[in-house]
Amino acid sequence: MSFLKRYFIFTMLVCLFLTGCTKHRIPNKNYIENIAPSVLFYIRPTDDDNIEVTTIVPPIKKEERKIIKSEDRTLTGAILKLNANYFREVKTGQLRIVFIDKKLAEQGLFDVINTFFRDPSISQRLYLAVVEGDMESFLNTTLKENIDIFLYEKMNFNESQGEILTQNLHYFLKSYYSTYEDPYLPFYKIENNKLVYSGIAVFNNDALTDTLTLKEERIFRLLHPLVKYHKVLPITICDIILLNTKTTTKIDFSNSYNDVNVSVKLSSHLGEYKDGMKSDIHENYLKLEDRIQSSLEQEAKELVNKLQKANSDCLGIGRYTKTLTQKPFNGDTWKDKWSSLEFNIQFEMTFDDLGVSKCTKNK
Amino acid sequence: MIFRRNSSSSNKKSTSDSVTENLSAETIENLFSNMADFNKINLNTPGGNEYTLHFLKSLINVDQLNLTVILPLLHGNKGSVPLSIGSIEVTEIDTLHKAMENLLTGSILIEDIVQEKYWSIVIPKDLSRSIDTSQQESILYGPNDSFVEQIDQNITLIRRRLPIAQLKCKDFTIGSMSKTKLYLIYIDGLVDSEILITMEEKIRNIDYDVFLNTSDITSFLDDNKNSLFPQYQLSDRPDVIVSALSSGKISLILDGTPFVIAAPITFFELFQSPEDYVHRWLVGSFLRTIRFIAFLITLLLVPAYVAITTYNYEMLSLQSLIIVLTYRSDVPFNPVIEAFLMTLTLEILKEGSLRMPSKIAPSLGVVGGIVIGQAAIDSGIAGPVLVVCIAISGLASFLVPNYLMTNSSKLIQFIFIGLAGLWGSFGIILGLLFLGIHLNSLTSLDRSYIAPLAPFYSKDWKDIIIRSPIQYMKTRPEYLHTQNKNRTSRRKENIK
Amino acid sequence: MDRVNIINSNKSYFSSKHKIDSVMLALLTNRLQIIHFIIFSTERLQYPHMVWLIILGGVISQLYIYILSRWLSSNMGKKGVIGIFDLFGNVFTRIFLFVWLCFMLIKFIIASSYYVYLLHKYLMTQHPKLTLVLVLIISIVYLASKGFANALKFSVIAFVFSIGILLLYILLMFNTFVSIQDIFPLFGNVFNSNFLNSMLLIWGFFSGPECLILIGPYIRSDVNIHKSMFIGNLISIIEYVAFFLGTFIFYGSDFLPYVQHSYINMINFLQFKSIQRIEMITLPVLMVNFTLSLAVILLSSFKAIVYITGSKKIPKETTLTFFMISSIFTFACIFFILKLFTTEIQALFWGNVLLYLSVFTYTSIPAIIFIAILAKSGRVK
Repeated sequence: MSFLKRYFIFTMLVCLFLTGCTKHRIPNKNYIENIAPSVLFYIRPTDDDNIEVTTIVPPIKKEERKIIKSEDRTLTGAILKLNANYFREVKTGQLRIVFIDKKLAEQGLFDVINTFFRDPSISQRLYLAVVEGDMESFLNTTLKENIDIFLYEKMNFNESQGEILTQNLHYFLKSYYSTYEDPYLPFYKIENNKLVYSGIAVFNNDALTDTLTLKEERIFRLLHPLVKYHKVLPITICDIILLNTKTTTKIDFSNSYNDVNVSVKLSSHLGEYKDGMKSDIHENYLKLEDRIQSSLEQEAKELVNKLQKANSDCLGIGRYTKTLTQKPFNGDTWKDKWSSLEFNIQFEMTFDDLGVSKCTKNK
Repeated sequence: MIFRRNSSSSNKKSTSDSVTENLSAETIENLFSNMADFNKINLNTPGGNEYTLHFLKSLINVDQLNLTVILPLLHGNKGSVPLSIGSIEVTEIDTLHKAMENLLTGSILIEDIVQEKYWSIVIPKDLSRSIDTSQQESILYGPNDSFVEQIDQNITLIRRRLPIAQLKCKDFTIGSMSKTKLYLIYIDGLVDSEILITMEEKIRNIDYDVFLNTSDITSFLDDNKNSLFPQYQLSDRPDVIVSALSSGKISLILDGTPFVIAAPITFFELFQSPEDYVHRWLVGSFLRTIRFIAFLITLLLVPAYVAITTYNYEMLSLQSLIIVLTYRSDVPFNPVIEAFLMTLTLEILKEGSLRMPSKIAPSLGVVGGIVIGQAAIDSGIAGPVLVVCIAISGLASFLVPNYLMTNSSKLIQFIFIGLAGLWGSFGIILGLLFLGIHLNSLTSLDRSYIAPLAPFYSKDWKDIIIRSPIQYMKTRPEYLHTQNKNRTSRRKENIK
Repeated sequence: MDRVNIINSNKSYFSSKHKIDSVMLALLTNRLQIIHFIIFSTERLQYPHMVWLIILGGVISQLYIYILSRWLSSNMGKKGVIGIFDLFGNVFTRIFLFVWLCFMLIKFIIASSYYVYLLHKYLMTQHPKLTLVLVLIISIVYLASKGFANALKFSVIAFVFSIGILLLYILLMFNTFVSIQDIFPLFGNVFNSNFLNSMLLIWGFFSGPECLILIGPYIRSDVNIHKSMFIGNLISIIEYVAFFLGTFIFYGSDFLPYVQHSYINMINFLQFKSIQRIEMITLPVLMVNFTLSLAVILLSSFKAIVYITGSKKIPKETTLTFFMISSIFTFACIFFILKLFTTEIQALFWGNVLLYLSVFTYTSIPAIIFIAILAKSGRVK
């Protein structure tokens, strides 16, 4: 045999014998039937300052599903303790949606969120939501319907449609760390054993300070500079439904950054209208536009006041103080400014389309 | 460095050592003793000449023997054999070795007893089968004649398509026992002389006893014997070989086999098929793209399944997760063993169907495919997702036109399954990296195997993934370094 | 042409029969620079207006690339190591090559360990680091064993593997909730307190081509070396600028300092219907770049050792020498990763060491060659 072959075989034999010297560590394979990838977590604080984590296992149709929960001082400890209640290892790789109790949100969410962020196996697209009420009994009753998968699909649907707000881990952390924005999360309530979407939970840094109702949530979405399309927009004052609304928001600051002009341009189709406007809509639509504008402006003012009281800039208005060349606010200075800002909100409403039928004049 | 001597010359010495006796009737009969097909005919012509005809009956065309040899000899009176038989070429033989050679390759030996001269006439038996359609590659709207086992007929098929004087045909004899004829065909003035010299050198260094098939030669001519990728193109279609020759490649025809070698090739040419040129060019491009995708599917689909179920469960979407979890819990094996077993079963079915007698094949196909597959799923030995994956990857492996590549890709798939079971998605990427490194350094007749990609020739990309219309392919492939690059007559003179 | 040699030639690591062309050279330059970008991520440049520093760094790097291309296209550069012997003289060349070799060894060890550290941290947490290091080194040695010309040719395949990642980053930018205000202010005080550190970091991004001083004989004679390397550097600049601005759009300037290795973490956000968590595919694909760069470093070191220890005329480039040298590199890497590169603090420390080393080599080596060429041409006159 040539020298090279002998050298090679010798080296391999030496390596083979040397493997006896190392500490054997059996790689922990994630055989998919031996793990219980949980999809939904529900986190709430207990009376003695612990965190309790509830989850549903397994997401397999043929086996009996059950709810397991455990509590510990830390979130990771609680997650690891879940394994004691089930014969498969609970893995967080497929974690898709986390419901956080309102009481825990009021205390400050950063530790919980940070734990999720630092775990490399959890995706950044984790849906977060704040819930108030008895989530556990709700999960218990709806266990048979694969509620965790249903909720995830619902969140997915909401995200793609844009009608009901969703928030994920990445955007929460981005707005938490940013000096110009504060985070917000969708807010759910358990009523009559049903999970009902009830608005937005508004945060100041990481503590929940206020919740917006559904009505206010609509204005919030209208005002938000990055939300540009609304499928259905009801105007409650006039009992009007607007469809396919496209909004463009412009934000201008005065030189001293004491006043801000927010002008929102809406263009939409007129969906349904009531209140017996027996006259021709094609003649009266300008009046209608004015009415809608004024009602929206009124509601927007109230919303902004509420946000300023809650000391939370969820709309991200502070971002627009940055121009190409300067960045006037650093650190916490924008937060101090936010409560004393004077808002000047204008809406400009145009109808793209007034509907198919043509209203004939009454004879 | 070992310099191998020329095999035929050494053989010549060995045989001529034993055949140094003089050429005579007794020596011929001794040499050809114990051969039932060795015949001898004595002719006494009215003109007083005496001839003895020696031949091997199994090798000559008996009808032609009567017509062109015996009758002219009997009636001709010209005195010597070449003058009597004017229609065919007659060569004089003076050594026993030459006589033996000629007798064994389909000639008759005429012994002129009076003048003590020996003449040989070539009258071989026409044993070829008629020109048939190619079994391996048949296209719908194009010529379907294919090569046969006779080398002269194959040359005819090529010469008819390229009636130019530059089509050169060098002959070699290889194999110490089989003495097979090998023709090296190229277009002079077009082909790069480096390829020619390399090929001739390799042919001269072939040293073996019997050559029955082209695959016997290719292992002598390979640059990399241990690679799984074929470095030569084998085809039994004349139009494929002629288009290869006109691009600037060389081709080798071996007597006794219809498969002809064309060299050099690149990796991307393994995915080309003559059928692409029949369809419209957009359709042809689409078919080629599908072949590349199918190759990737063959390599990666089942290993991806193994990786996801073993290590990377996070990569599944929620619905797929539920499907996979539901059936994985029933299967008793771990994913790697399950994938190996099912892929092996598919291979066994494939190999078995190759060797089955044709009468049993359909029913056994039903048994193997449907019954066993369905029974396996129902009993829980295998899962439906995996069976679907394996079936798709098995079918996809046949999309590559080169059949040698099909089996190679199956083997690579096994390696990938092992790597995926060891390291998950990292293992698959590692396998692709090693494949990339291997392909990168592979050469076919000293030309880079991934030619229009690695030495980047932008013009060649018109015929790799898309199949441009023929008018746009104005130049020959650049990696062949042909002497005349243009196919059209606008710029330079055409080959006349 | 020696007819016998075609069939029975010995395997040679340094044969220059197949040469690389312009596209390969451009992509090679680009891939050698990109591994530094992966290791030292951009988070330390805290402000969006540092993008102009990146462009400035790119322009200065073009000057150095010009020096290198002048060296490679000169008569001495075309002969590779022998050209360096001609340039510096026997003794000084050996000293120069020895020092160069030490630097390359340290770079090899730290770069390979850093990649294994990243892999172990984000993807293969359960596997022991030893296995991962061995796998990486085996792929490097496999590529290197195919010869210098083949290793340089691999840059095209490396680029093809990595182009998918670039396209994925572009896809990331087409999400909702993306606002251009995140990269404002784009013009600001570049010369702030962080200036020196940032300049050092950016210069480290562009280092890499100094390993290419020995590849003179492997470049085809009709290649416009300056143009190819210029384009390679340009591709790097475009990638860095696009990625830098992309991180600001995606993370915002306040979140970014808290994110480690944004190059790897950003893809976590992409989700398709059929496949999710694509970073489990992109992180191993980065291994291709490391394999290429470290194989070039290994082969250059091999050449340097052969010419230091052997005679100039008959270099002993046998397989045995290659195996021994790669074994030395392997054992050095294994020792390093098991003993000296275990904690995160150590990772940060060695990252800084690599940064300083790369900056030093990229600044000094072209400068030394430039000065030597000037001195030589001065002496000749």
